[in-house]
Amino acid sequence: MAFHVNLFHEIHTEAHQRARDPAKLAGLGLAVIALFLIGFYVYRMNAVGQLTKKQSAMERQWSSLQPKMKKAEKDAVTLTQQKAINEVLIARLDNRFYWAPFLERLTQSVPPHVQVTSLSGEWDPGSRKAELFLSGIAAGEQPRVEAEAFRVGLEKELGAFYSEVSARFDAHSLEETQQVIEHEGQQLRTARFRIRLAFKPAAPAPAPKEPLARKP
Amino acid sequence: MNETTKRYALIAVAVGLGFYVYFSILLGPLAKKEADAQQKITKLTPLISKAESLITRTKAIAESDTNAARAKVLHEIIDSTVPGGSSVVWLPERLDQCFRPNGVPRVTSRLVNEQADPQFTDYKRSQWDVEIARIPLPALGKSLAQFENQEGLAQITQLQIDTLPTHIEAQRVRFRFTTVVK
Repeated sequence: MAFHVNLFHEIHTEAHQRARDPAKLAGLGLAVIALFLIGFYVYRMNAVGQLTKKQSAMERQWSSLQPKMKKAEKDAVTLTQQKAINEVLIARLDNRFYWAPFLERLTQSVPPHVQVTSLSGEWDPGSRKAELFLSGIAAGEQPRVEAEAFRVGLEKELGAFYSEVSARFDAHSLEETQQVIEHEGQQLRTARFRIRLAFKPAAPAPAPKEPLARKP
Repeated sequence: MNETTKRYALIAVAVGLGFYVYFSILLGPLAKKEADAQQKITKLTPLISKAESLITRTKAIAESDTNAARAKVLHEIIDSTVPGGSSVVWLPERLDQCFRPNGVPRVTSRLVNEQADPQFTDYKRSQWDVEIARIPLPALGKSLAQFENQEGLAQITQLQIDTLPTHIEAQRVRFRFTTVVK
C-alpha cells in the first residue's frame, strides 16, 4: 500500500465546512418557503378574483332583474285578474242560450192541428238548463193522439239541437174539451194540453260510427 | 455578542417581519374580500332565483290564458258598444231599434235592478223587464234574433208568450233579460 499524503486537506476541510454552513442552508430553506408563499398568494389572489367577478356578475344580473321582477309582480296580479275576467267573459258568451232559434224550431214542430196558446219559459245560466211550459189546443178526430204526436215530434225536433230533451204532459193536463171546431169542413174535437219541456243547450253527443264487433 | 449571532438575530427579525407582512397585509385583506364576496353571493343567489321564477311564472300565466285573444276582441266590442252613462237613457232605445224594423213601434222596458257585477269590476249587471203588447210570432223571432246578436252579453232569462184571444195571429210577450252596462 502506497503512502498517500493529502497536501490540500485544509482547503478540503474549509470547502466541506462551507458546504454545510447552517446560515447558507437556512437561507435556502427560507427561499423555498418564500417561493411557496408567493405561489400560494398568487393562487389565492386568482381564486378571490374569480369570486369577485362572479359577485359583480350577480350584482349586475340582480340590478337588471329587479325592475323586471317588480313589473312581473304587478303583471302577475293583473294577468291573473284579467285571465279570470276573460274566462268569465268567454264562458258567458259560449254559455248563452239563444231564444230566437229555439222559437223557430218550436214553430217548425207545431203541426196544423195544434195551436200553442201560451209559452212560459226560464233559462237558468247556473245549471245551463231551460225549462218551459207550453199550453195549447189539439184538434182532430182523436185530439189526444194529435197532442201526443205533437209532443213526440217536439221532443224529436229539439233532440237534434239540444241535449237531455224531455217533453212530458203536465199531470192531468191532457184533457178533452166540449169545444168542437170546424177545420176544412170537418167537425173536429179538441183537447187541451200542457207540456213541460226541459233541455240543455249542448248538442247531443254523436252516435258511434260502427258498433263494436262481438268477440266469437 | 459576536458578529454571527447579531447576523442571525437580524435575519430572524426580518423573517418574522416578512411573515407578519405576508399574513396580515397580503393574505388578511384577501380573505376579508373573499368572505365579503361569498356573503354577497349567498345573499344574492336566492333573490335572483326568486326573481327568475317570478318572471317565469308571470310568463306562464300570460301564456296559459288561451282566451286572451278572443277576450280582447270582445272587450273592444263591449267598450265600443256599451256607452257610458245611465243605461235607462240608451238601453230602451237600443231595444226599440231591434223591434221597430219588424213592425213594433215601441216596447215597454223597465229597469228591474242594476248592481256591480262581481265578475266584471268595471261593469254593472243590469236586469230589465220588457213587455210587448202585440206582436206576430215571425216578427218576434226576427226581433229577438236581432237583439241577441246585437247585445253580445245580454241573456234572456224568462220568456212569456200568450196568444191574444181577440187576435189569434198576435201574441203578448214579456221577457226578462240581464246584460252588462258601464
